[in-house]
Amino acid sequence: MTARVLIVEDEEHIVEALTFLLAREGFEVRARGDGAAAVEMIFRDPPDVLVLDAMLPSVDGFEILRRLRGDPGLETLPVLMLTAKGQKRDRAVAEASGVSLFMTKPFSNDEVVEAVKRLAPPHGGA
Amino acid sequence: MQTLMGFRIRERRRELGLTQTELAKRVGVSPSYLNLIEKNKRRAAGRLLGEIGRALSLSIDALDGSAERRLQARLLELARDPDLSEAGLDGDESAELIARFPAFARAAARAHALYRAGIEDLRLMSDRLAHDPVLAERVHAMLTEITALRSTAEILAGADDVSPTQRRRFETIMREQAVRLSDTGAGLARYFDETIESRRPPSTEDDVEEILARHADLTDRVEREADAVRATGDADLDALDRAARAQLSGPDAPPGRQIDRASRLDRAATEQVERHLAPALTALAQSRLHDADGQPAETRQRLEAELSRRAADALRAPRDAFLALGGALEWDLAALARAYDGDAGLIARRLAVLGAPQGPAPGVAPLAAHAELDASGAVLVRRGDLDLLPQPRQFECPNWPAFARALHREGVAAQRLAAADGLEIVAIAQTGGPRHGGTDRIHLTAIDARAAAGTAYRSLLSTDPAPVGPTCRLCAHRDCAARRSPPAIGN
Repeated sequence: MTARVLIVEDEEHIVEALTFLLAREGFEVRARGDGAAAVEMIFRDPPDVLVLDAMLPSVDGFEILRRLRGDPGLETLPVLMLTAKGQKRDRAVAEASGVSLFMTKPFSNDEVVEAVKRLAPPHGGA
Repeated sequence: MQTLMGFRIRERRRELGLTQTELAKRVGVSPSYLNLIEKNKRRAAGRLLGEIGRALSLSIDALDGSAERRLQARLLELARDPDLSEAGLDGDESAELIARFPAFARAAARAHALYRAGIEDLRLMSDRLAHDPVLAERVHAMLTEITALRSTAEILAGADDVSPTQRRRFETIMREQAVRLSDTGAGLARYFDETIESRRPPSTEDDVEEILARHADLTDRVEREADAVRATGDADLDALDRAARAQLSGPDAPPGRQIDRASRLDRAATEQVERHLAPALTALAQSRLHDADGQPAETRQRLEAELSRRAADALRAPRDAFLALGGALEWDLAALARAYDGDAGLIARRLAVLGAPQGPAPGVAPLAAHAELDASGAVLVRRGDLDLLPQPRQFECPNWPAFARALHREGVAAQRLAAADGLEIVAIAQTGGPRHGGTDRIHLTAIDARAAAGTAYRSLLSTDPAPVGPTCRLCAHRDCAARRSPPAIGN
């Protein structure tokens, strides 16, 4: 079964690039640009891997992460956080919020693809 | 900082070939007292200073050494700079440096001021990078756009399986991202430029103050120019005020707008100066800049602005009338302000400009300094005898009355103060007059305590003076109840 990736990122061109890259690797890719809409989708139909931008409209990535980790059904959902805020404090906040992997912008395509592959369940989706 | 006058008197006496006995006789003191003055163990002031100046053919300003004292204060600041502690500079040598190598002394002071300004700029930018939400948002936007550009470029460069349609799409994305990134980058550069330019370099204000102090005749010239305008009859401020009020109450007047009389008169006077005196004041400013090589344009602009300000004040409060009324009121600044439509700023500025060492005396105002502060406590302008104000320029000592609670409740606060070098001051802080940006300005006037003995503030001389210093770290008043941090030296 194909692993499903949800990209939560408000920069449309990054979404297009990541969608192309991950689809090429065999992932089923969906995307949302708004934090609140993303939360609704995650709780309704959880992905296998979440690629989450930290700075989002309405609800930011850190808050989304905290909500997920507060739900027993989503506390183990693999999350790759992408952010331009790369200081130690931001990383510490992300780790305290339960992030699986943390990556700062700008990143290379190979890095983000490898990270998603690492987080994806073996042999595709759940 | 009072040490240079004695040296100067001695040197000048020797130039003129006078003995101590001869000079002492001419100025009416004993030779032994003159000897104490020349050794800086006594300070000449008031009438005696005037007599010595006449005997030595030196102006009060030249004899008094105000400019050199300010330069020495800047060199002392340089010597105390923690960043230069390894140089082992001895602040006591600054007087000799000024006396023997005045140009090098000025250059060193200026270089240090520029260095501190640069450090402050770096600190400001560092703070803004860490805490400025606008800057953080712009940096984040730039990094996000760079990410999109990089990802797209890598796809185009590395992927053999990109369809023609996808390739065209990614090429379009690259072009769009490149434009957005360049716009964001340009905006960020402008934002940094605004950050730097919003800070006025301290050296410009220091330079203007020094020019005004060195050329004491500028005050007389401005007063004469204002007198000439008044003589034409075009500057009848009362008539102008009546016309302004008629306009403000007319059918086109903004609803609900109340402008006090002080503000109206200030505006009218400023307009008259602009109309009648702008070219003359520009020429006057330019004529005094020729001896200050490499002065930036901002120095000339600030000097012109100050001369215009003084001319407008002279229109509103002509010199003779101001001195007469001030003397009658024994220089009670609150009472004087009430006589001029509550404009505390006008009173403080006129006193700082017209004060003389011989005052207070009939027709002579006491020597004074004026500092104008905004609501945040930043010093905007300084005038008059700047030795009476704190060095460096900011009021970092909490004992200055500028922020006394009484000021905000009653509009005026007065305090007797004692500086670490022995100078005693009476400081009067007032608000009142035209507002700026919706907030009041604080006008602080400082008068030498000995001169204050002849004013309405003489009762303060029976109170204990509060200690004042530069900053707690550099202040010698170890027992001050208001101290915020231990002294840097001898702690």
